[in-house]
Amino acid sequence: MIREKHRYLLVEASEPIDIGIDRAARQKFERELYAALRAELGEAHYFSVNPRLVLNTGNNSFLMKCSLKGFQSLVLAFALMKQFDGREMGFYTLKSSGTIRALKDSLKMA
Amino acid sequence: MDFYDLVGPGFKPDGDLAARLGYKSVFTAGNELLVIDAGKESGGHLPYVANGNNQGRLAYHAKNGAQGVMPDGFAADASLIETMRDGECIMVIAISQITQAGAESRPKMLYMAAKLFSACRKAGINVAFVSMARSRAYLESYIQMIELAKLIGADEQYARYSISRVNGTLGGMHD
Repeated sequence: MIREKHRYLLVEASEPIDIGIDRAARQKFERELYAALRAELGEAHYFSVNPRLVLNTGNNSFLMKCSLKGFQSLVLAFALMKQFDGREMGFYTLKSSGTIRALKDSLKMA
Repeated sequence: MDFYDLVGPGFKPDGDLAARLGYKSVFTAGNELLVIDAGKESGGHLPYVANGNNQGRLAYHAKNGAQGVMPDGFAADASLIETMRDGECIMVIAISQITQAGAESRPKMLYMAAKLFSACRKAGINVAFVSMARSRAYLESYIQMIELAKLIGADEQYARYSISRVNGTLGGMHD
């Protein structure tokens, strides 16, 4: 089986967001985020991008994982997404890396 | 390469947001660089960008000292392109015109921006991509600006170049 290559993104919301500490709150945030991304990417394209929330890094930011070939689409989806949870909100793609460790290291240095 | 952005009048990203987004500096229209209504105003001594939809007035400003032209709705006719071909004036593509457009009009705005970009590059006119954001929600990081520029038709190298233009060609009074 060929292993799929991934890309990791550090994303920050322009407004305060509740990613949630407990599992239920995080699942609620994930559902809303995936629905918003599905609306931007389109149903068929969404599955090839395969965006996944990996880690809540605090300060309204989080780590996302996507397929390598879907990286550009996910960056564009976040760039064009200006509504979230009924509010006017933007999402900034601050950094990207091929490994989660590199992004975590950059967070420690910041 | 250092990246710069230009945002709408009255808005300045707070704290270290500009640095987090990957910009060396974010300029505010009206402070560091004037953005004038091409149909009503005339340029002063400061570097300025002419904005509007009156093609004749945009061409006038392009010929008479404007550093950049930012047409509303990305509409530029052949005479404006012809005028700009002979000068140093650059085309400014404001990404907020795309991101602020509703879901229905966004594809049309993307199409118009791509058409304008292609016409400018064929004529040898330089293009600058700026956000012209009026609030935090409409700011984009430099990574997002590069991808938006590529979506409009730029290659990776030109996309990066065009996001560094605010300091270089437009204004050029910093650093």
